[in-house]
Amino acid sequence: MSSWWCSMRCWLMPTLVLALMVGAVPVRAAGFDALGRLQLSSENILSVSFEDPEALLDAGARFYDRNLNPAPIDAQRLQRVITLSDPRPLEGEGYVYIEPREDDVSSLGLDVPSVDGRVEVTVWVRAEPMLPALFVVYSTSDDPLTGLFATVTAVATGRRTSDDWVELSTGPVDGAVLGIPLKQVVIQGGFSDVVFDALEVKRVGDRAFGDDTTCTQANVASQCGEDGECIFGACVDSAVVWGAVPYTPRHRREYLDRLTHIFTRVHANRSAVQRRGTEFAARLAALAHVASPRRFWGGVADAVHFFRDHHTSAPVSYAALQSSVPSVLGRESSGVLGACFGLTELDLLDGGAGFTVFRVDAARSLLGDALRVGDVLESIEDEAVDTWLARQGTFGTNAPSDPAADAPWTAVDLANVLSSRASHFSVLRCESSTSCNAPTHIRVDLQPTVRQAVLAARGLGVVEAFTCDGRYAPSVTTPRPRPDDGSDAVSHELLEGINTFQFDGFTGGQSWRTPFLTGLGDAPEKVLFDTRLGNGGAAALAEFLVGLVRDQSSPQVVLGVSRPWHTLDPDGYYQSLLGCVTNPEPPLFDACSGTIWLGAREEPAVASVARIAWVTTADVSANDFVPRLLRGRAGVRILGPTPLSGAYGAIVALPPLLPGEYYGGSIQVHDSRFAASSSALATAAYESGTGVIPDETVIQKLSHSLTGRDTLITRARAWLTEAP
Amino acid sequence: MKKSLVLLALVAACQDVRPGGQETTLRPGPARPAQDGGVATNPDAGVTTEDAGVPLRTVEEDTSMFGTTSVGNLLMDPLFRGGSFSSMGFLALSWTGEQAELTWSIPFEAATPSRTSGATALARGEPVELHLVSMFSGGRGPFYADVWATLEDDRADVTADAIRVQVGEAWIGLEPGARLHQLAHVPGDDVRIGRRAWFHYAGVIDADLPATSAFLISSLRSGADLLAAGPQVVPLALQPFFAATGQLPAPRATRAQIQPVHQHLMRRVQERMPALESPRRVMPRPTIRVSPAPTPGHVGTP
Repeated sequence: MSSWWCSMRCWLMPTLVLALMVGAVPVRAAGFDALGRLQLSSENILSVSFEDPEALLDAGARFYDRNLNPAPIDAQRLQRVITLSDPRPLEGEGYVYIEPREDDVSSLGLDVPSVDGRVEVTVWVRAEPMLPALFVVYSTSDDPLTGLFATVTAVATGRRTSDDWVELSTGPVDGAVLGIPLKQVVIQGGFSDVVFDALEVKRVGDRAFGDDTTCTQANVASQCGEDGECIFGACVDSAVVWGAVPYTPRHRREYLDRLTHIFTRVHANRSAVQRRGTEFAARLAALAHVASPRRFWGGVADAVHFFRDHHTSAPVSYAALQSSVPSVLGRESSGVLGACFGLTELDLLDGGAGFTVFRVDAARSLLGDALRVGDVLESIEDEAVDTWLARQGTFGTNAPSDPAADAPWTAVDLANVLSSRASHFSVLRCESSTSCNAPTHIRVDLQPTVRQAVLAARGLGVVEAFTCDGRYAPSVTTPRPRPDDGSDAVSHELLEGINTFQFDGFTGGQSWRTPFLTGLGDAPEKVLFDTRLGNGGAAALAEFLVGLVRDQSSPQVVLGVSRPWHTLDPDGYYQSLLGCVTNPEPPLFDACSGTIWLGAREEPAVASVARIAWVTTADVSANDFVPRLLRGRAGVRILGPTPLSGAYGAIVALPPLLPGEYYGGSIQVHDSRFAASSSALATAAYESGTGVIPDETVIQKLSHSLTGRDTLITRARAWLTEAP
Repeated sequence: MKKSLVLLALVAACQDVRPGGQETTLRPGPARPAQDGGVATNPDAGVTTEDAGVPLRTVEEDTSMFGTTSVGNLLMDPLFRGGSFSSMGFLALSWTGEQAELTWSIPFEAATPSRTSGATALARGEPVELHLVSMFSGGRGPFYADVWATLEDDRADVTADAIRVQVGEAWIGLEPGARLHQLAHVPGDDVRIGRRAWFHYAGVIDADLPATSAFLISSLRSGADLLAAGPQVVPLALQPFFAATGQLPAPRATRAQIQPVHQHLMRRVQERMPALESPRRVMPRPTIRVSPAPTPGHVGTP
């Protein structure tokens, strides 16, 4: 039940009536005197009243411009931003009022005295018309922001004065992270005027662990305590990994209730909402009284993972974004291992599936040549691989909509997850390329190597990582690099009579379309699409490619619709939107704006492509839609190790709710039905949560890995050359 | 000034706009706290007593993250935190009389009657009417809907009839649909914060809303900036309090003495923002890609 709702009921209660009456006479709040002026505590580690320029300079005051570049500072410049004429300052005799001009300052930094313990940093700010932000900086650099190692952005405490001063707080944070001290506090403005007063740094307790306390994911709670997190094999304050939590139980409840509302009443993945919405809500509700960043944000992330929608992700804070002790080292990356893993059929072992090394580059690894292609991941931190990986929801990774698609996605993220979260792991190495009866067991120690490298670099710039794309090997001889704008590259080569396209998604401009127009323009007999990493993309490009290769045997259409708040699929709702299939390009908003449509809007441009091999591995969204629309077309074979993700809809980002949030997460706002014709859509089923099952299940074989063969491409090419 | 705690039940009408222009008053809407000299009082905001002419400062503890709006709000970005982060947030549009184009808006966090942050859609001196519009998921009614809005206009006093708030099939670029509801101005709710008068548009929508609905705040005065705060559409079924009592979700703030959103402050922000050219683009098609999230912990070359 929402807090707001409770407060409404309370309106009717005598107790609140009493509270209203009490509110009519002055009530002294903690830290305020009878006149309503804040009194700084004499027990603070640091108290700043913002009245004396010389004192501020002694406290290490620094100006920054709105891009946080250093700006000149001296007593005169400081004096100009101190307001002493206001008859009602929040505290003392003055406060800071910065009116930024072109290339002028908009932020102020102050040094924080060294402290062995946990501290809380607070400041009062006023919106003119935007609230400044407060963040703390862990650094050893003379220019702390340039050498920023970690940071925590403050949240609102819920205290607000009648003249609109608002209190911000970091919550409790450690005085150091892996020995890197809390060096500076910054009050940051942007284009707005910047108003603040009464900065306080209070010691609030002892740290739960030392800078060199080691840990594993299994013992993080006992080694690092309630507020600790285990990154690079050592305990760190989880606030610098995840960010500060909403300050009060009420704020946490409101924040969680808002997420629950959106996930259960706006999210449109029918399967996820119906099957897991209630449990998702219960998991979030249980976090309202949790103040530990690890448990709160890890709990939110785990609930999002449990909800299982691949378009859905948890919020990301500035602390997480800028941390040198991150929860995971990015996505689809080799991390510090200089290696990528892939899902593999262990044909030389027991015949089951596992994760093996697909690619290594010792020059881009902190581990040197510790790993080789074909090494089989045997255990992580002395736990079975599946046991250890069962925690990955708490690390902040989202989940494929179809659980059958988990393994390939886990594989492409495995190297970066291990990089930050594992202290060591073990691999099996076969004795030969044809036999694995007496494998060597090799322990790979990540720590303290990685931790020391990160500390030495004072950041994550320790290796040049590369993308893990799920491929054992490229399908073209010269893959095109990803364009600088971050869009997807399309590589096209004619190899032994097969038009081969390697691409990872559907983003780009004309340079994305041209290879397809060129390669498919003369209606080739054999086409191989290698989309083994596919993060989706633009609906228009998906429709473009489908339009090029579909024929009259696959007149499929798809219509994705949103939902009303009170139920997922009321009678007649979907039918009322069928007209959107033939809707021309919509205006800015109309009833069809809540739909997504793909299909036969264009006549097939290339109807005579005889055989198409569509090779998948880790594919989602537009990379779900396109094979789903092609499946069943004559002459198409989809080959891959597992079903695809089954994320059939559009994604929308959620707005940040906290000052320290960079990104508020995301949800899927449609679910989709597929059918042979528009009229048949009315009786079709929603499909999110059920990915395309390959026509032929093909998994990279260990024996092939050890001999340099790409199982999937070998099989796809063989099928294309078989007699129809 | 002695604060009154008397609650007066006023009528806020919600009008149903029918095709053909007829408007039908549906039923009484929510009540509001007492007014005093055009300034709304805030029963739980603390103190407004005076001491030698200087009001004492009071402190509220544990204020809501969402002000007077509900966590059950169907609007996805009622705090205007996400900018035009997605097709589900508020977009600022300019209307030239022939076509709608995306334009800029600036969020602000200074005091508003809803006790939430707000946004200003910018006319930027052009003779355009402005809209702030958000799509949302409708469904089974009834609903309570409201928003606080005002205009920035140097040329003339701002009056409540210069703003229109519509909910439902309030399409842009097409004729509105039949299921369109216009929120009524609640005259007794007018709040002056600093030099700015805020108008409250509210009502109960006693009908279902289409699954794809729009919340459309429009200025009807060409060339004026449009400010809005605290928009919400809340199913009454999620808030039984509304259904039982017809009360507003929360008392509104006494804000006469606090910092307003001054015109000059918004202008300063505009002036400081570089290259604030109108984007001049139309709505993009949906994105079906799983990579909107930033990638924390990027590993890179030193």
